[in-house]
Amino acid sequence: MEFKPVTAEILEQLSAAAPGRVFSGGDISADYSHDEMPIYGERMPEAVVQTLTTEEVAAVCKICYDDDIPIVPRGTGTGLCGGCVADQGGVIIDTSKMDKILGYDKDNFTVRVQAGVLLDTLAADCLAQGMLYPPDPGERFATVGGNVATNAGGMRAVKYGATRDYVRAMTVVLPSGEIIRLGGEVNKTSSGYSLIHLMAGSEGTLGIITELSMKLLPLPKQTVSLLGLFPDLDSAISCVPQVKLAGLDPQALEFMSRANVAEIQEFLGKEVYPAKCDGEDVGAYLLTTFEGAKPELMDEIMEQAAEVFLENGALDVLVFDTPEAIRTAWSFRGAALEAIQAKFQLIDECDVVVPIPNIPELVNYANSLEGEVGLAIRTSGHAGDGNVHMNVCANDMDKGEFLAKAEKFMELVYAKGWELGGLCSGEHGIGRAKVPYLAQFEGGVIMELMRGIKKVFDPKGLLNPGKVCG
Amino acid sequence: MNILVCVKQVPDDYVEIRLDGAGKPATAGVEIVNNAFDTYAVELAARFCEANGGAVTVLTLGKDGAQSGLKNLLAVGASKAYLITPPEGDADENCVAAWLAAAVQKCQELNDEPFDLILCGKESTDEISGQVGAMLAEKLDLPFVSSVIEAMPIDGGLSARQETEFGYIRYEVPTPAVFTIAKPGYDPRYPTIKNKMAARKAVIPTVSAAEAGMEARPARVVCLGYAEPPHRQAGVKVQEKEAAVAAAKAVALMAEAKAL
Amino acid sequence: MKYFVYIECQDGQPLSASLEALTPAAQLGEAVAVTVGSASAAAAVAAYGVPVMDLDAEPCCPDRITAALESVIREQKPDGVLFAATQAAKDLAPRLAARLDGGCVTDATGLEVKDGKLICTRPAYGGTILERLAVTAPAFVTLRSGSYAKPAQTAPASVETVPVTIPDGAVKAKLMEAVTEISEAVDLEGADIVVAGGRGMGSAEGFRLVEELAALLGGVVGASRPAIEEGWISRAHQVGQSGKMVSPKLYIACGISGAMQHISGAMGSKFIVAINKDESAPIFSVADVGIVGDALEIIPALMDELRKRG
Repeated sequence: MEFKPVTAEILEQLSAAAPGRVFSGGDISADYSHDEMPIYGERMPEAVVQTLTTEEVAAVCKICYDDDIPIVPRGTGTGLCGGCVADQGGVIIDTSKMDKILGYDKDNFTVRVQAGVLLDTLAADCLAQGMLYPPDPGERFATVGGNVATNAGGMRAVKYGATRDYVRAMTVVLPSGEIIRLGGEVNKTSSGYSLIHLMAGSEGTLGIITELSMKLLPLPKQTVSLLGLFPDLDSAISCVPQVKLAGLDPQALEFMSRANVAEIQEFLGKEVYPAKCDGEDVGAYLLTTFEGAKPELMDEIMEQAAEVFLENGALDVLVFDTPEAIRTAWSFRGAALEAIQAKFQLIDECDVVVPIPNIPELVNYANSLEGEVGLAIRTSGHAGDGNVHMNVCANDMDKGEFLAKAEKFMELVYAKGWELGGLCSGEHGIGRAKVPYLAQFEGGVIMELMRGIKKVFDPKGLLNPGKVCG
Repeated sequence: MNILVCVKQVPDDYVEIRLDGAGKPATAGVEIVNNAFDTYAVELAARFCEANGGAVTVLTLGKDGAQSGLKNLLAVGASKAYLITPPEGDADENCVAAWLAAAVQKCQELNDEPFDLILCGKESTDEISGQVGAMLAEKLDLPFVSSVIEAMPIDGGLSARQETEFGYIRYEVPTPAVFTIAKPGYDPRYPTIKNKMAARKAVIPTVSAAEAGMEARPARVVCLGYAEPPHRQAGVKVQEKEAAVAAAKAVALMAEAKAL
Repeated sequence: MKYFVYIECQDGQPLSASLEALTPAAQLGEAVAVTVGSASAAAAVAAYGVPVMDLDAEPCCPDRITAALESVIREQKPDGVLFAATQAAKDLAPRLAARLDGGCVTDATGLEVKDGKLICTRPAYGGTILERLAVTAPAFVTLRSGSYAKPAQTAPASVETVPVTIPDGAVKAKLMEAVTEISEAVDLEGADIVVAGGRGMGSAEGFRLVEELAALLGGVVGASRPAIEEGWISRAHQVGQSGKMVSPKLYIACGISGAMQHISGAMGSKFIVAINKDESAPIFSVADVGIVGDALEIIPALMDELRKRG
């Protein structure tokens, strides 16, 4: 398919569809040329349309589709794989102004939102309503639509699953401009192929999500966080499967090395996780949260979990059980990526997910590559669901040299992930940056199936071209 | 040195409290926590005793249910805790201070030992009146230093460093004494599981107002009602993808309003 | 009704906030200013047309000042004493209230008399709620600075030196040394421009941008409580419930979410500009101009723009 350029005439049509919200040429903000990983290449779109309604999205799609112009959907651009970058030109549809919470159905535990609502806004609003929106990806300023499109996971996925599990219904605009509604506010369904689950995680390659009904949960009554202090990373991570095996059901389970923690401490200028325990150096940390209905129950869970930690080599376990303490413990963890970003100029990352028992091997392997690859390596992540975030970082290095070294790291670590029975990405998605690695994990037959599906939704291949399955 | 820390339980100050439908502070559903400055006082006391010997007792005037807050403190350096129920009815700071003075005597009796130092947080995060510590010192007729961030033993007493706006003032007092505590340069510790579990299992002695020798007394300050402060109108929101564009717009708006 | 106004002094001169308290005292009835052991301050206060009693005592430590005031209050039985809500007065007022079995109110922002009773308005819960309190005499009230304008100077009133009895053993806490660590003068209350930073500045390094912007504008640096507690700047810069109340022509809040604790300290500003990356931050509901964006990116852009204007 040969893409056509955005002409003055097209711009006029777009302006008729979304008056005053079409930007082109020099009026487009440079932010639209990249997501949070500009290292994967930047390109300005030919036009940006900020839409306010499903109908506007449909009208814009129709204009582009009829004229063979690529369409790239985008929320707040907080992705990590170049998924919302118009790297083949065309029009970006920015849904971030579609930011209304449309209403709650409290008896049915659902909330209806426009796709551009910020995760932060939705989470806080649900809390105020006495309900919990469980998905909690670290990036609070992402849109809910973007979270669904990438099936974002986050800290609480270990207990609650990823965003996909909370989608009840959605309104989608197909590239041709047709509007469809998938799913319903029901608890189960056996009604043909589950297109709604196909759409979740499709990264804007099959359709553009404009409205969503999301499932909510009652707010847990009691929570407690425990911080396990371990002599080394190995013992910390080896403990993870044991927590699950013991039948404990943590809401979140994160691991951090001392190096990570020291960097966060330097960045925030305060110590929350102790460096020493009874005179012994702490080498790694496991941070976990449990929830329950009654205080008595919490005692039991706390004691049992701490026992598992201690039996598996923890030096000691700290308890965070007041609102202030829990906030402090988790905001410290939440600053991990910012701390790395503050310290290093060049960063690349991947988020391979492996079966839980294989986490230690993957992490140790990745950390061991520091010398071989010649880059600083920082691993952290969601220990509880096997999702490991690996950052390679450098300062004062030529970008080309960095990219070559990063690629070498990626090749090695993805190969290891595959060998350990893992998958390419736990929660960040494929976008453009990880397409070759996805192919490597999935193989030719599966990639062909994916391309076939794409063709059914988007026969002309105009919607977010080149992403996910190429 | 035996140290008593008086601890008030307050609504979590992270949550913004506004008026409810009945025109009262809407504190229902807000988690009740130990007042932040009181937790700083417990940490200061714990560190003092670790360095110089002694034990920390905590005291809350409150109703049944306040035990869990006290147990939290037993896990982070306090070794004894008492819950004393004050008399019913309206109370101002003067009443609370008088009751606390009686409660201090009662705790000494129960501990079978006098306190050398009595601490309060410099203010509570709900009422923010900062009066009770000073009044308690008067009721007990003891030396008083406010906003203390460091205490050291000296011959026959204590040296206390009071935080001031421009630096500090150092006082020397004989013991027993009453201090209020500001935020020192460190944070309260987090409990280890062992301390936590021991504390959760502790039984907190509960004492009635009558047992503590507290009497109802007239409040000199009575709350007539509440209001919300006047609201300010929100103005223009500048939301641009590019910082430079946003800055240009904002500066233009400031110039227009002659704010520059 | 007769109210004393305790005049706090610094370097022999009355604090401006103490002079403000003369205004409500005069409105409530008869005002008498009280200084402790400072003829120069007494003369300065008398210039505002309010009679002054200068207590004949060394103002060398809080215990002595408390005892001196107690003595004159017992003697003359005023209906109450008003103070500027300074750190020192917030100790004096409750101590005197306890000794004289009176009512005490901290941080009042408004006073009136109704049915012979003093009614005070004061903020609570971080400033989200105002309380109306009825106080039984003798009332001991600290007044938040900026709540009243200080009176105009007129024909000087009388100054009387009043002897006081300070009992032996009145001084229990011995003041050993007063140390000034923060030598910079931070005149937030008098500033025309305040640039304040909060948690959103991310780090001590990030906070330097706030200082740069303030320097560029010739303004004073302010901070919210989180920024102080992180140690990014000294507490002399704190704006809000537990800091200073400011009323500049321009207030720029950078990376401050706008907890009431903070906002209440800046409500007197003529024009508020807020920078925050969270579009729904409460600070935007009080800002005249709200810039949605990361303060770490917006501030340098603002400085570029301001430099362009020269």
